[in-house]
Amino acid sequence: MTRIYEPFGGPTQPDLRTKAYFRTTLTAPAEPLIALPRTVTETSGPVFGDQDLCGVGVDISNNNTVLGSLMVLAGQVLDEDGRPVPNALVEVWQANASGKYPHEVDSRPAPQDPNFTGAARLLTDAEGRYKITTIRPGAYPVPNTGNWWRPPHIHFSLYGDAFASRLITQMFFPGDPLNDLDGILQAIPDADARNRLIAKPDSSLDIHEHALGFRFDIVLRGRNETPMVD
Amino acid sequence: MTKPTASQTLGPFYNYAFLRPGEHDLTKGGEHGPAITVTGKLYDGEGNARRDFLMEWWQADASGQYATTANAPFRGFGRCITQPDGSFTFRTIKPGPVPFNAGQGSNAWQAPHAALGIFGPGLMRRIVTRIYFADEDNSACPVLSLVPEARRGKLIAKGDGSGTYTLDIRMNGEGETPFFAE
Ligand SMILES: [Fe+3]
Repeated sequence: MTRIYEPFGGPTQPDLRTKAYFRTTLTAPAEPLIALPRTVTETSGPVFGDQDLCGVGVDISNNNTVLGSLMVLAGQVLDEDGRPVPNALVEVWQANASGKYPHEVDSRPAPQDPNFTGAARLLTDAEGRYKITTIRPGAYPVPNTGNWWRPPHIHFSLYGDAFASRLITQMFFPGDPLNDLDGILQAIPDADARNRLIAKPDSSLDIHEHALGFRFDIVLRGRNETPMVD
Repeated sequence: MTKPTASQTLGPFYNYAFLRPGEHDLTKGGEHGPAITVTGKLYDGEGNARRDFLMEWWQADASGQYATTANAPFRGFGRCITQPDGSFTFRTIKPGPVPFNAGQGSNAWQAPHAALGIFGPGLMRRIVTRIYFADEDNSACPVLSLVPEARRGKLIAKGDGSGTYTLDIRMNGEGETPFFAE
């Protein structure tokens, strides 16, 4: 008898081949993915420490010197069984208020912000929590697509406690009219799963008369899921 | 059970948030065994070499143990971003065989391998594959045996006899690399 885990996917995950995101055509494998019982390779994973943060902090607003609408962004990282994931590596990056990345490949003539480094890096605390300070990023156009503008979004990379609990995702803002037009957010078939990528205003996180609070919780794949028997 | 948060593409503009100097080199910080180099190129469905894809490498040490702490002598984790010519390079040591231990009572062993995760523009989710070594006994690996025989060779890096192993990865199309469901 082989134990095969329920594959990642279904309507709460985007398909690798996504009509609304043309770039997937040449990069999505065409052959079926091979079902793999989880072995120690997948249930173990790298453990990160303070030395991996390389001095990158949690304040993308760079001590209030970055232009834009200040915000506090916090949340909790959980596994599929609802358990907090402590010591997860969280890497955050985003565009500046005019929708420009501090990256050589972003050649759009929008203004750079000299104080903007655009990245945060941290380990979650014992309850799986994270908290950063930043500014609301701007929308930006996707080159060679006609008129597709990415809605304001913040990129998140997470490494939980196993090779299997790896996730890269994006966080969006409530009420933005570009959300419904975005080929990348809309690549997720399930509406509830899309909504879970939209941060919630949270006044308990506000810094009074200074920064708006938003909450964004993240669920990683667990280490010990219920196995399916095939 | 809560559903996992939906994956989204890494996008093109991330390098500054990920690049840590020397992170492709797993041999840093001590002697763990003879160093090897694993190199190759990443291709898309039209055979174009693709730059700016993020690759993450996870392996056991020479005795087949996976690191369990951040200050383990050999941490087993590396990252690199493909170069303008599509090439990637990891510097590491040969991993030992690791237990299969996935089925009940199985005492099979997996041949030495590294797990490889790939992210990039045009990938809505991570794609996962493995790298094996041509000069190891791969004949009884219970994971390799899940791969159709005609495609197994696409997972096996060839050595040049002096410590450099080469394997190209094709994400889509003719000669496509086998990828595993997560
Ligand atoms: Fe972006």
